[in-house]
Amino acid sequence: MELINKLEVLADSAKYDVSCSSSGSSRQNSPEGMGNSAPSGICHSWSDDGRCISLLKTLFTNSCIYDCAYCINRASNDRPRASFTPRQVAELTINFYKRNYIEGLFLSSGIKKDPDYTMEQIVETLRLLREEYKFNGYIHAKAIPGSDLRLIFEAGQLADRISVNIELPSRESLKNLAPQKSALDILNPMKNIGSRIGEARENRRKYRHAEKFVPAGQSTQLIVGASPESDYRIMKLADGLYSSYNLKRVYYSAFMPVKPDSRLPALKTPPLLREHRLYQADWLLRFYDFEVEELFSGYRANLDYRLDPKLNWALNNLDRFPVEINQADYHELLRVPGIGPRSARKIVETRQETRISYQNLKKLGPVLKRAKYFITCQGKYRAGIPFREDLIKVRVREQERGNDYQQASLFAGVQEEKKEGEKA
Amino acid sequence: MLHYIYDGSFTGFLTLVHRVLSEKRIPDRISGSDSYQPDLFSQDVIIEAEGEKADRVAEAIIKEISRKCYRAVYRCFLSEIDGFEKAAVKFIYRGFHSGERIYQDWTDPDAAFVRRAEKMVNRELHRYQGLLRFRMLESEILYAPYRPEHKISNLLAWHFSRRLAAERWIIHDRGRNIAVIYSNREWLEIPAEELKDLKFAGEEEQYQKLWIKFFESISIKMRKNLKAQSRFMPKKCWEFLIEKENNTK
Ligand code: SF4
Repeated sequence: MELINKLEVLADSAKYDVSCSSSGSSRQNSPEGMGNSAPSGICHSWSDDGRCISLLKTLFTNSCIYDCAYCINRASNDRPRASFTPRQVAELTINFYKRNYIEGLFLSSGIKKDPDYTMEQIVETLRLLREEYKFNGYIHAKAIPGSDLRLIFEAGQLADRISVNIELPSRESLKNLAPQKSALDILNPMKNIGSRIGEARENRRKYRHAEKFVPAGQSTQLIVGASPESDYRIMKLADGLYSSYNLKRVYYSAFMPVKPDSRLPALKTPPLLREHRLYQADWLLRFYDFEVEELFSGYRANLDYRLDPKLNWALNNLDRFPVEINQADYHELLRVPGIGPRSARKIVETRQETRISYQNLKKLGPVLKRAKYFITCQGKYRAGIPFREDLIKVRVREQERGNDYQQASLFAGVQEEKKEGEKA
Repeated sequence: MLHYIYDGSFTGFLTLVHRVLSEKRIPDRISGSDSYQPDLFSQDVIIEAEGEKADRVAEAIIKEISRKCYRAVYRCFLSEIDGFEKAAVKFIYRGFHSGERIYQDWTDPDAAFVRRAEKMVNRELHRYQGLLRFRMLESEILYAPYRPEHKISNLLAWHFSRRLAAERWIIHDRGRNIAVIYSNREWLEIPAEELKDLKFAGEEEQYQKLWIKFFESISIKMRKNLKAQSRFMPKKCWEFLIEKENNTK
C-alpha cells in the first residue's frame, strides 16, 4: 500500500482519540537536534470540525485482534487495514515537523499479533526518533494494555506523555463491551507509571540531571455515553485517578456509534453537550478546589446540562452569596461564577493597595455579566435586581440560554487547547 | 510644528527617543522615511540612526523603567499600527518619571495603546508559530512565505532558531518584502529581492499531499464545525497555508 493511503487509513482510525494536547512539557533542543516543546502548546491548524491539530495523530496499525464494541478498529468491523513501519512513522514525523505542520507525534495503535509485539513497534519508533533522528519535539505514546511493563517503561523514558485509555468507566461495562481486555491490564500500568513519575520527579528535585520520565505526565480517556454510568460515577473515577495515579489529564470523549451493536445505545448524534459539561466539571476539580459531591447536590446522579456546573452550583448555594469583593478570601472569590483563578488572584493583590471600586473591578478581568449576581462591591449590589433567589435564577437562566448552548457546540472538543486555569 | 523623521529601524527609533529625552520635547509628528510626506508648515528634523545612542536608551529603559516595558515598547514598534511611534515615545517619556508603574497605568492612553499593540503582536506571533509553513527547496533550505499584519519576522526567527537549530531556513514577509535568512545559529534580515532559486525540492509535493491527506482524514464529519475553524484560523492566514491555500482562489 502507498504511504499516502496508509496515512489516510491510520489517521482516520486515530481521530476518535481526543487527547491531542501538546502542552505541559518543555524539552530543549540540542545543537545538532531538531525540535523543542513549548510548555503552553501550539496549535498548527484547525480541522473542519474546529479541533486544534497540533500532533501527527495516527495509529501504528489499525489491525486488531480484539473486538471492543465501541471501537471502529474492532476485529469484526469490515474496513481497510494498514500498518506503518517504525521508520515510516519516524520519517513522516520529521518531515512534517520540519515544515512546521506539527508539534510532534501522537502514536497509538490497535493490537496486532499480541500486546508485546505492538508495544515493541511503538518503542522502536520512539527510539528511532529520539536517537537516530535526534528529535526533541513532543511525543505522546499509548501504552498497550497487557504488554510487558518493561516495554512500557522504555516508552516512558522516550516520550513526553504516556496514556493508557480506560475508555469505559466501570468494570462491568468493560466486561460487557471490551470482554478481551481486563481491568487489571489497564489499571496496573497506570499505577506503575504513576509511581515511577512520582519517583522521577522526586529524584530530579535532588539531582538536576536525574532521568526524565514522562515529563508531561500520563493521561487517559473515558468514553461518555456508550455505557450507563452516571456523571457522578465518572467524576468520582476521574477524581480518584488524579489523586492516586498521578494523572495529569482525564479526557472525555462523547461516544460516536461506529457500528450497530445490541449492547450499545442507538445514538443519532454524539452527546457533545454532556462531554462539554464533564470537561467543565473536571476543571472545577482541578483548579477550583471543588469536591465531586458539591457538584451533585440533592443526590442528583447527573450534571444539569443546561448550565455550566459552576453557575449551577452557585445557584443552588445562594446562601453563600453575595460575597464582598473587598473582603472575600481567595477561595470564596474563586467560587464566584465569572471569576477565575487569574482574576481572583488579581483582586486579592490589588486589594492590598487600594479598595476596589466597581470601575476598577472591570479591569481585573472577571466576567461581570455573570459575576454581578453573586457579588457586592463596596457594599453595593449591582445586578439590577434585588438579591432574591427566584429572581436571580430566572435572570441567569435566561441570560445563559442563548450563549451557552452555542458555546458548548463551539467548544466541544477544543477544550484541550484552553490554557490551564484561565477559564472562569 | 516639530516633525521628526527617522529611518524606520528600531535603532533609528531609539535614537529618536534619545533626542526627545535630551531636548525634553515631544515632537508633533514622527515619520519613518518611507511614510515621509513633506509639509509646508512643519519644521522637519531628520534623525540619523546611531547605534551607541540607541543602546544607551535601551539600557536606560530597562534600568529606569523595567524590562517588561522595554519588551512592550519593542513589540509596539513592531506592531506598526497607526500612531505607534508617538504613543511609544510618550510612553517612554512618561515612564522615566513614573517608573515601572506606567505599564499598569489604566488611566494613561499611551500606556493603553502600547499594551494593546503588544498584545496584538503577541497574538499574531503565537498564531504564526503554528501556522507558518516551510517548503523544502532544492537547495535544502526551508522556505516560508507569509503575510503578517505586524512586523514579526524577527520574533518568529527567534522561535525557530531554537526549534530548527540545525536547519537552514528563510522566513519571507511578502507584504513588506523582507526576508530573514537563518543558518548556523545566526540570522539576518535582507531585502527579498535578493532571494533567488526558490525552486521546490522533488520530495516537497509528496509531503504537501501527505499533509493535506492527513488534514482531511483527521476531521470528524459528525462534528463538522467550519465556524469554529475559521474563528481560530481566520481566512486572512490561508494564503500560504498548504491545507487551505487552494480554498482562497
Ligand atoms: S483493543 Fe483498542 S483498537 Fe482493539 S478493538 Fe479494543 S479499543 Fe479498538
